[in-house]
Amino acid sequence: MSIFSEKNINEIVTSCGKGDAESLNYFFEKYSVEIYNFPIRIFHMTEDEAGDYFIYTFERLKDGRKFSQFNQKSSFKTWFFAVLRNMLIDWKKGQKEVKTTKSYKVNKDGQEYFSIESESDEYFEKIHTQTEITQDFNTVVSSLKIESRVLFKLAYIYYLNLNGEEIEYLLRVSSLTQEELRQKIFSIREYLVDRDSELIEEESKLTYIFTQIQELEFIKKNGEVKIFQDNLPGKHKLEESIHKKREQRRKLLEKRGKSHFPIRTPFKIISELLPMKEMAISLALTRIIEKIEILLKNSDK
Amino acid sequence: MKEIGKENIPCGHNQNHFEEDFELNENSLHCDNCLESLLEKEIIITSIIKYEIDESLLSESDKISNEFSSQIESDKYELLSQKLEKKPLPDFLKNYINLNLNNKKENHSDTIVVRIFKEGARLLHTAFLESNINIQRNVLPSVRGGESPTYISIRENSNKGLDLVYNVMRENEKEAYLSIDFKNNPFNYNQVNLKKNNRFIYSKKIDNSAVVSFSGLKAGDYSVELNGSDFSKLICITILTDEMI
Repeated sequence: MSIFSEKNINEIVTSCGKGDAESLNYFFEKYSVEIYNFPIRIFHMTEDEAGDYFIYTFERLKDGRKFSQFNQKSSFKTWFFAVLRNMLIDWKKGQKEVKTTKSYKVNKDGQEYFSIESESDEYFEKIHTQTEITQDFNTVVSSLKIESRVLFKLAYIYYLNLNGEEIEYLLRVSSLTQEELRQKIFSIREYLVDRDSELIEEESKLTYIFTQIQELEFIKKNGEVKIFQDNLPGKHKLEESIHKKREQRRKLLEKRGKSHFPIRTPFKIISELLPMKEMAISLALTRIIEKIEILLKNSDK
Repeated sequence: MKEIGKENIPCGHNQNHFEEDFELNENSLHCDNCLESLLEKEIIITSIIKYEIDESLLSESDKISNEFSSQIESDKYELLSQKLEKKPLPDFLKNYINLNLNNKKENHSDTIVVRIFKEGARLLHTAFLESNINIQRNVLPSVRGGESPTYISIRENSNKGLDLVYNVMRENEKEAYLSIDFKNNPFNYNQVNLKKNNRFIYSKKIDNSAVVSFSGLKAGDYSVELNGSDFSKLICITILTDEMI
């Protein structure tokens, strides 16, 4: 039985709405994990962000008043996800409204904070530059035509959701009903989910090996001496080590089916939804990425 | 003219990253330049995904798409919950629930919640009823997490001229350091009392430096009382660590 269809859940929510401490304790014992996992699972946020979101939501649910809005006309599950979604929107809006201003600075030791204001403040210069890049980035991404936006979102539908305009566009070009589209998105995600956990683990390993190769190559290029933590003989340990790491990387890439990118919907499936052939999808997607890449490179200069 | 979808990278290899589903060009297995180029692409894709996720939450949408989105989200949540292991609730959040659920705190006091952990400090929550606050935050839509700061700095300005800066610093992964800088003190607060879980711990006079500080604060609920001859103010500061209280 799903955690959302528990037998007494309607009574528990009603009691929570009256501020009953025992029911609130039960609710948070049972559903805190779901609240915490909601932004991770649905919006692929980090665990830090999920922690912030959890506290935001907890603060608004803990006195029980919000529970009194549950009228039992819809299921608990529908109400629960609607509440979590609205909380997430409010939390995100609140985050965006927080102004970033120069307030105060302390040193790392936390002791000499009187003298800090005379120090040069690179942090805020950095923040200013980051803000400019972010604005440029937002301008380019938001200027994409609807066809490109829908294409990109379908390619990464495992992470992304479609908005009202995009749903209408897709329903029009695919001739599907809303329910058929919902089923289609579900089946694509079902197909992609198996790749998720293995991809995260292998990506971490791959990034680690890649960094190690870069470090070893840097040492070799600069003629520096690398001290290895073993007593084994060998004149060409550096070269051997680079070779070994390359082999590790090659095997890892082969093992994961040579895919390194975030989980992407196969082009064949996208071509069943959009009036485009697989190769055209490939090219259009590359164009979108290149457009953003050029912008970011120009921002770096 | 450059062929669309193909790029020349320093090694001289031509690549189309999206040529076939789930297949990378064979060069990337052996060439550092190719792999680096792929990693750059991955960063861009991840940035766009992050932007689109935020955008989908912040843009105004009509009721039908909201209901439809909600349905699709609950489908996704159940699907992923069946297939992937859920993340357990971290101990600092369990602590937060324990400290706050059945604790009838003053709802009228200003609140700061900070998490201290091995790598740094993180502001989790603030609620100031009458004042404006400014918080230092990173604004880049970061692709991969950067270093966590070791301190949190919050500036409070009220319309009556009160101007305070609260700094909470990580001393180590179990203890924090709190300082309050009275930039402008129109209510002539002259003493700060610190209580932990409603038990008095320490008191400090506000001297000419206009800064008071407390070190070695372990996880728990702290009340900071600012006292003057005519006025007083209460701030609740919760410090959370990854150790169960």
